[in-house]
Amino acid sequence: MSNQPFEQLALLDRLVHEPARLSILTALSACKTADFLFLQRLTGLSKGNLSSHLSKLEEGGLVTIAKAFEGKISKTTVAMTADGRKQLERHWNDLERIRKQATKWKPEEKS
Amino acid sequence: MTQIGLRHKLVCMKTAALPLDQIQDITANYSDRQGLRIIPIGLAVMIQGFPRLLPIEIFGIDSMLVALAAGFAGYWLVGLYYRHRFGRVEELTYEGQPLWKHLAFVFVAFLASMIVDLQFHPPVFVSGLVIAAWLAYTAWPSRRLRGEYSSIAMVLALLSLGQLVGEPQETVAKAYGFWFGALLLIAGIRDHVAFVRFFPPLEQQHE
Repeated sequence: MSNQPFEQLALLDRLVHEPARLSILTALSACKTADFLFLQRLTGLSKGNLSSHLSKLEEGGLVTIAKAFEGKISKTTVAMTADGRKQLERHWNDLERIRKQATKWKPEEKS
Repeated sequence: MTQIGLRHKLVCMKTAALPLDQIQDITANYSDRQGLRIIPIGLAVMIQGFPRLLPIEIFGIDSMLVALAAGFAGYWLVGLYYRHRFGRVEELTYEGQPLWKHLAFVFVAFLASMIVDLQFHPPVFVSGLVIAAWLAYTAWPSRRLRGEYSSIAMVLALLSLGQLVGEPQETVAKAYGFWFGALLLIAGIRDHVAFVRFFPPLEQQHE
């Protein structure tokens, strides 16, 4: 692994680091479950975009999605998995480490 | 392809503009930030300061208790509005304990302080001090409520000391009820405005 902080930045997990997904994961880390409408209002994303992000997170094992009917209305509830919480924590630790390294970083002088 | 890329960028810009610490804050304290929910309770508490406005009893039950029950019913009903408009969040525990345990503790503490006030007539309004202490605790160390509730707690604590300057307990209790209710109304509206402003406008639907 490179010691250059900017190269490490490129190696961050894109599944977590993408801003919309990071917003979703941050919200889910602060609650037990949240429904689709809440996540949509929180991120401002369209239904299609939010569904796409949630599917990716579910495929990555970071969240679980439960669908149920309340009367005739379909309700989608999303929860973060234990693995998801660990990965988000690791992601924040990585970012913090890279930030610290970046503040100490000095460009190499060419002779 | 270019359009998809540009759209993706716009989405990123929109969501990146949301501070992550605020996302955590509003999600973790979702029900406490729904300001309109405390408006009915505020009104019910405020009316305690004007006992003559209501008949003594409604259906054989003390009208003040009926007003408070209506306030809590309103709290629940307004919650349905937030659920319908902003979605549902199942919150984590309250300071490491289930919410019902916290509320039960507050209720028992308040009931005990009411008994002390009614039976022993202490030189300060103990029930008022208990409420002020609970508000201060909920607003400051745990940060479930916004910071201005600490100021409300200070005002209420000062009002609770009214008997020390010669005011009778009944007058202090009425003034306390009025100001507590009025401050809850103002804080509730401010909570609601902050809550609504936090959520970004929804993206145009293209499906």
